[in-house]
Amino acid sequence: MRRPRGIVSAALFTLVATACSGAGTSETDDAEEAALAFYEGLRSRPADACALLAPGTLQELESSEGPCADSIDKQEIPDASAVAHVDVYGKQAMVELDEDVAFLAHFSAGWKVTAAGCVANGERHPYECSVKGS
Amino acid sequence: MTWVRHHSLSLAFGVLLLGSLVGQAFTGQADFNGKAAASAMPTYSWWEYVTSSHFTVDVAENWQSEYLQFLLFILLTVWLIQVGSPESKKPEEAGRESDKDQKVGRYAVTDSPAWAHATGWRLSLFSHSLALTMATIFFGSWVAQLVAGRSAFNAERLMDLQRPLGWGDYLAGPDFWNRTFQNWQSEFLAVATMVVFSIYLRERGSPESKPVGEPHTSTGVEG
Repeated sequence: MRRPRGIVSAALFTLVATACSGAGTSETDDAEEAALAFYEGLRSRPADACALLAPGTLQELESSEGPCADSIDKQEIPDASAVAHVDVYGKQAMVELDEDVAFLAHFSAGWKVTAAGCVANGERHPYECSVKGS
Repeated sequence: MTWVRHHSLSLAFGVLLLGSLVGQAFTGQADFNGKAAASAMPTYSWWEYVTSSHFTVDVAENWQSEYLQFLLFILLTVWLIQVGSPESKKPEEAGRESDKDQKVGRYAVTDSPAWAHATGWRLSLFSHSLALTMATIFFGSWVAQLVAGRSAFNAERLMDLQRPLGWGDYLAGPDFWNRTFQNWQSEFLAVATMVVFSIYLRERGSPESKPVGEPHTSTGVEG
């Protein structure tokens, strides 16, 4: 079968380079910083923690518990102050802290918490989280 | 204009490739963003999408299967025969063929490529340069599929509040192999049907077809 053969090495290199760039260091640092700011907000200024919630998560919390600033500190979210491990894939991150696990997503306004107060629920199941989106 | 006419086949497929990639980029972005918005998750700009693992894995899984298809077709047609097909050699020609038939070494003609005149590793390398290039691109694309596929898959897992998978778990899991096999089967189907259909069916003027009046039993005859 005779068909044209294109030179694709350059395109392939770009493809692999792009694929390898899934977990960038600066993204990891930014996600970690946002997670720590969220827990700091929980300790001192609930409004700051609310500002770091993802839109869907904030909406879910307020629809069931009332205004975020009045209800966020009543959720079962352990106090955490040190990051043990961060995974970033695309615009999603999982931050494992000393006392909690949080999930974040990168919106146009920066990293926001999509779920917090999370406990592992077996290998095949999602984490059980006190605060999360619908 | 003569140059364009003389390369019109390559140029046409180049344009089709670029058009299809652009189409895939826009429709893929729209599909991804539709699902992300429904889950109140971040959306991607066009540039963010085409440089994301989501777009990369979709491109790479198709590329690797195309190059595997051609690699196998190039290699298997050295030895395997389909009587009546213009895609096959005649049964008596199966194998690597003689230096005289291949115009190498002392049988090279004036216009033969320089390394066809050579001996040793240069002749050996040039004699397999097509399959080696196809194999390199195939494996490169397959690795790109693995790397980008794991990243895209883990992004979805994180969205679903699940722990991301390591390399071993992803490689042993269904996502990588489902993407691989669903592309391989369609490529093998296309080659098999091309080989068999071209025994009995014709497209007048196409070098991929036998001449219209050529008997069904003729093998290795292209129009």
